[in-house]
Amino acid sequence: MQMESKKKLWRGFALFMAAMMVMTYVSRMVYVSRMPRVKWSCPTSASIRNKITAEGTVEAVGARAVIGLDGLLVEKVCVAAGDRMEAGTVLYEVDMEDLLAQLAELHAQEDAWQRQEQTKRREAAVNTIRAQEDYDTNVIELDRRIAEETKELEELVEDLDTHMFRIPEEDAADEIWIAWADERLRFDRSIAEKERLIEDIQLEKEKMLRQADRAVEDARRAQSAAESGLELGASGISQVRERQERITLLTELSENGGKVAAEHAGDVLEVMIQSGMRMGSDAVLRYADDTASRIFCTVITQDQKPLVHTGDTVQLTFPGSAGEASGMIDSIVQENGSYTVTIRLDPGVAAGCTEGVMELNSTSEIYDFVIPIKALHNDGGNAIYVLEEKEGILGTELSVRSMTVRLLDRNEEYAAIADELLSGDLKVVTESDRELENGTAVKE
Amino acid sequence: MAVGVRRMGKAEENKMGSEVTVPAWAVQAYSRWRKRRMAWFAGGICAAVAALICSPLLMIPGGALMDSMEMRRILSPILGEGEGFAVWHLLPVYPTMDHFYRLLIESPAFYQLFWNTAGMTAVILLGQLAVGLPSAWAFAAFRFRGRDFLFGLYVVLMLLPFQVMLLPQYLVLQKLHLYNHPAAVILPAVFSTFPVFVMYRGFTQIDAEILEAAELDGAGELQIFFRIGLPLGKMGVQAAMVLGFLEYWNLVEQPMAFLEEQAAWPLSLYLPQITISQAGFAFAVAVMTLIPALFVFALGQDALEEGIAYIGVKT
Repeated sequence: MQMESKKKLWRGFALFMAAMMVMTYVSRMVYVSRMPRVKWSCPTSASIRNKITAEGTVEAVGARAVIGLDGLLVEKVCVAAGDRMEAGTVLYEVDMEDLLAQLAELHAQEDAWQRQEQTKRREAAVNTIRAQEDYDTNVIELDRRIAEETKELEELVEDLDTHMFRIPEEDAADEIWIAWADERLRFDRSIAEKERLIEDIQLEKEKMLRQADRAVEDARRAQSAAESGLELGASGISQVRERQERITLLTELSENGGKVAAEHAGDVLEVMIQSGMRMGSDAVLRYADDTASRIFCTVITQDQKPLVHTGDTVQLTFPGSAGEASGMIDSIVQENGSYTVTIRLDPGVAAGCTEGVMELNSTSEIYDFVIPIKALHNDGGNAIYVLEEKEGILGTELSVRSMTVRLLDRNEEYAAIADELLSGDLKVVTESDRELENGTAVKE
Repeated sequence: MAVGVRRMGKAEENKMGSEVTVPAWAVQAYSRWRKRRMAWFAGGICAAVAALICSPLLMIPGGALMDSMEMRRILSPILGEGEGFAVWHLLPVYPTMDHFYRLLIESPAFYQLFWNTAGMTAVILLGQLAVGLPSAWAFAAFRFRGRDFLFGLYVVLMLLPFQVMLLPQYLVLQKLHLYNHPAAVILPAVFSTFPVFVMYRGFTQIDAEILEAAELDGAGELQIFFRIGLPLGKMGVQAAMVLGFLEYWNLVEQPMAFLEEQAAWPLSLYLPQITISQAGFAFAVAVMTLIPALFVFALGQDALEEGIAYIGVKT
């Protein structure tokens, strides 16, 4: 072979080797630049402080109702469910035209009834007077008759006395004596008759007076009833009172321009009326009074459930409200794979709030191996990456090995794990700037 | 002309029943045609055999440039994912440099093993020069008691396959605490008897009169070795080096047996690490592995031919 071509071959060979040298460094740089950078820490012995935070809703217990004004037409509803209302807040407005019409009708009914009542009272008074007059007339008449009969009786008694002074002689004839005795018997009989007559008249008087007295008493009672309205009966009185109350109510309402305002401060829960609707006697609006009790309801996950128990004390905060409150978990109910936690709040707490945040802190027992939670990954179960030195073609390299572990406890920052192969000097990967796989070479 | 007539006369006579006179120029033309036909026939057979032998080599560049999907489709019968036979495309339908990019840019392990191989080969060859060259010169230039026995022992050792030497070598290396160390591969190779044999044959080509004349002229042994022996026997040395390079560049069994540490492996052990699903990548590795050997072969081709001739002629 020619020397020149050999030189070229040597040059080419040298160039090839030089290129290989350069590419060695380039590939190394590329390899290292693509290598995930990890941070690690050793498992420590510690307890897990669990802090569970869950958002929930505030619900009223025993909500109050605003009863509708039966028969009135709603012109405008001024509040909606969830609104805050203060005492005096206009809840809804009624149609004024309709209101005034109903009011006028009520007034007319009231006037008619008043007139009827007056007539009744007047008639009762007349009847009373008449009964009294009848009574008086009867008394006078009977007294006159009694006086007449008494006078006649007295005259008979005088005649008797006179006659008796003319008692026949003892030796008078029997005919005289018989005549005297007959006379005397006749007198006696007349006197007895008179006395009986007087007694009869007395009895008649008593009877008539009793009847007249009763008539007077009945008339007076009727008058009294008419004047007091007792003859209407309970239902009648109730109707009258209802009408009068309604008149008062509607009058006040009309004076307010048809606006119905809240009597207490609270939170509107439900509105059952709408514009154009004629109200019934049912509730038109439900609201939670500020003084009423409330409950806080929130939902926790299956994972959080073991950390939450009935009777645990929790801290509650309510967005928009400066105050915090503590409460005790009343119940935990499982629903569709999650759990609803209920906390009863003291009266007045969370007034005006519809949402809140529950915070529960608890400290576990001391675990042997506690690692940062971000060191856990899912590899068909809970697993960690352990940093190890691996002998490979490139020499000793750091690589990660996936290790399945049993999760004992966890919070948002740390997890307590257990496994037979765990030890305190294991280097557990806590952070990586790239996705890791089992056996991935890494750098610190 | 008469010769031609005599040579063809019997045949023509038998066929035609009478003697026919054929012109000499026609006989010569026929003879040339027959020779050419034979040459073409022999050439065709050789070309076919050569193509068959070289076909694996022809597959390498095509495979290295072949897209992974195409490669998978071709190899699907081999991978058990298809039926029939794998039909190779010499020219890929979708040529790509992806495998070379991945090999040259994203595979530092390849370079690690490349330089391991280069370093190991260089040390072995230098060691063989240091140890084998004086031995070969001694066998060629000196006559001493036991020389033939010793040389025969060298030949026997050369003829022993590696599998026979594996256990003894392993035991010795264990004793020397060299197992799993590059020296476990380098030292046995340094003391290999084959380069001694090749170089010895190169030195025996030097005329004894030249050496005697130098000695008579007062040249010392070192002077004779460096001034006469090496220059005249350099082809044997070069042949030993080229053959050694080609052998040690592709060393497989020894590192596989004595080196557990992957970081010390030579490049020849990189290919077995690549699965068949990465066949294109493996072809790219093969191409890159082949380049230094091709350079060395081209540089030492003359010496190699002469060295092989020494071995063939003298043994």
